[in-house]
Amino acid sequence: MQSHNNKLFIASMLLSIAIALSMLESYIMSFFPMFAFYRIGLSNLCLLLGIFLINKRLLMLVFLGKIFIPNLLLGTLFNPIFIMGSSGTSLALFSMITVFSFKRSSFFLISVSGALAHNLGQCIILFFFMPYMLSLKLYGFMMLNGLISGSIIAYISFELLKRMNIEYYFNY
Amino acid sequence: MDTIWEVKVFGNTDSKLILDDVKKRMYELTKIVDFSDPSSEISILNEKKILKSPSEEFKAILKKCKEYYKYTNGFFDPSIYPILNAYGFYDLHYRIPKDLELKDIIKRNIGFTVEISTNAINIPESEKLDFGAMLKGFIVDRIAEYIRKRGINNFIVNFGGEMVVSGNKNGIPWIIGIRNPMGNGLLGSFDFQGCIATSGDYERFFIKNGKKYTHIISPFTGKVDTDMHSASIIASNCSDADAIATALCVMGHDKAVAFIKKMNIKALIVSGEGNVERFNNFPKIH
Amino acid sequence: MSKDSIISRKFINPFDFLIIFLIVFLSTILIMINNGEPEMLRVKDDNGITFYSISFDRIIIPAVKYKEKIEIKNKRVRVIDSSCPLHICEGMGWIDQCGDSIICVPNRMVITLVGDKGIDAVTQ
Repeated sequence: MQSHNNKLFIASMLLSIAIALSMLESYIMSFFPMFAFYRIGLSNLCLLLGIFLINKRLLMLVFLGKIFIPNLLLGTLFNPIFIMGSSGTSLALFSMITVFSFKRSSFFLISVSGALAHNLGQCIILFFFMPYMLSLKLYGFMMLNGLISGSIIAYISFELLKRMNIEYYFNY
Repeated sequence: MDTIWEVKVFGNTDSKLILDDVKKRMYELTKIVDFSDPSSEISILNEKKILKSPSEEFKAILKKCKEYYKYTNGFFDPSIYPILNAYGFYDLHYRIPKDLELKDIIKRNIGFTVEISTNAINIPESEKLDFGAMLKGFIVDRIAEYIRKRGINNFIVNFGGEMVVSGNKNGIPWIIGIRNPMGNGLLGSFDFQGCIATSGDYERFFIKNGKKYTHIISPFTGKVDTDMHSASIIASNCSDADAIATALCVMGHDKAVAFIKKMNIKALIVSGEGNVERFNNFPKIH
Repeated sequence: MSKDSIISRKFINPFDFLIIFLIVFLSTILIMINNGEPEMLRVKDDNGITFYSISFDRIIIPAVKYKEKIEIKNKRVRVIDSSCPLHICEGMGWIDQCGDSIICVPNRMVITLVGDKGIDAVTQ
C-alpha cells in the first residue's frame, strides 16, 4: 500500500513536471515561429523516469495527461500541433518501453530511441497532413536533435535515479 | 524568324553531328517563309500572286492550309495577312484600323483560295498569305521526322512552344509545362509524349489606349474580340495541333468548346477570368 | 520493474557509440545533400500550382486575394508583406536551396524552390 501510494505520488509529480516542461517548450518555440509545430522533447524525461519508477497503468495515465493537459492549457487541443505531439509521444513511449525490456540496454539507448521515435511520429503525421514540409534535410536535423535531447534526458534521469534511494523506494 | 527553338536529345553519342544537321534543316525551312526576304517563296507568292516551281515543302504547307481552312470552317484563315497588316503587325507601326477599312479588306478578300498544281501555285489578286498559325507546328513535324530518320527516338523538338515530344529519358518521361497565359509562370506540368501546340494572346500583341490587341483576330470581322487566352492542343501531328489551337482562340470560348466536343479534340483552354478547362482526356496538370 | 533493473543499468554501453556515430553520419549526409541549382519557384495554393522562373529579379503576387508578395532576388526567394496574422512566412527569411520551402498556413500557400530538372520544355 505504502509502495502504491509512493508510486501514485511519483506519478503525479511526473505529470506536473511534464506539463511544466511542455509549457516551457511552447514558450521557447514561440520565439522560432517557423518551427511552430516542432517539439524538443524535454517532457519525454518524465516518461523515461516513469518507466523506471511506476507501474504500467500509472504510466499510461501520466502519458495521457501529458498529451491532453498541456494542449488544453495552451488551447491547442485537436490542433495539428496536438496531433503531431501525441503521435510523437506515443511512438516515443512505445519505443522506450521496448528498448527498456532488453535488460542490458543503457539509459542512453532508451532515451535516444525514444527521441528518434518521437521524430518519426512527427514525420508520419507530416506525411499525411503536410507532405510538402517533409524533406531529407529536415529529417537530418531532427535526427541530430533527437540524439542531443535524448542524451541530455538520459543523463538527467540517470543522475536523478542515482540520487534517489532506490532501495527504500522499492522496498516500501 | 526570331522565335526561340530548341532540340533536346537524350542519350545519343553522335547527337552533336545530328544537331548541326538539324540546324541546317531548320534554316532551310524557315527561309521558305521569311517575309523579310523578297526572294523567299512566300514573298514571291504574295507579291506576284503566282509561284513557279514551288518546293515540296511549300506545296505541303499550302495543302494543309486548305484542309485546315475547311476543317475549322474558316476560323483558320491564312489569308489574314491584309488584316494583320492593317493593325501594323508586319511593319511594327501598330495602329487600330478604322471599321470602314476593315470592312473593305474583308469584302475584297472573301475566304482563302489557292490553286496548287505540280509546278505552280496561284492565289487571287486580292489575297495575301500568312500561315504563321500552323507554320511552327509544321516545321517541328519535319524536324522530328528528320531526327527519327537519323535513328534517335528520345527527343524534344520545341519551336516557339510548339513541340514534338518523343520517347523518354531512360524510362523517365519528359515533363512539359504549360505557360500561364494570365501571368508569368506556368499553369502546371505533366508527363508527355506526342505532339502539342499552344496558341495564346500573349505571343504577339500591342497595347493602345489601355486595350490589348493580339494577333488573334477574327477573319470574319477583323476585330480582336475573343475571350480565349490560350488553347493547348494535342494531336497526331504538330501542324494540325498548331492550326487548331489558333482557330480555337479565334472562335471564342463557346464556339471553341462546341467545336472541341464535336471534333473530339484533346484540348486545354484558358478563357475569361482564368478558367482552365480540359477536354477529351487532356492530361491533368499539376 | 524491479530495483535491479534500475541499479544494474549503465548510462551508456560501448555499442551505443556505434549508434552515435551512425546517427551523426546519417544526419550529416541528409543535411548536406544538395539537390542541385534551383531554377523555378513552385507556388501551390488554392488556385493550384504555378511555376515561376527565378532567373530574373522581381516581386510576384501569386494571388490578389491575399496580399502575399514574394520577392525573387539573386536566385533567392522570400516572402514580404503577407496578410496572414502571424507573419510566420515572412519570418522565415530567404530560401536559396533546391527543396527549401516557405509555408503560409492560414493562406494555405506553399512555395518551394525546384530545379529545372522539373520541366523539360514549355508549350506556349
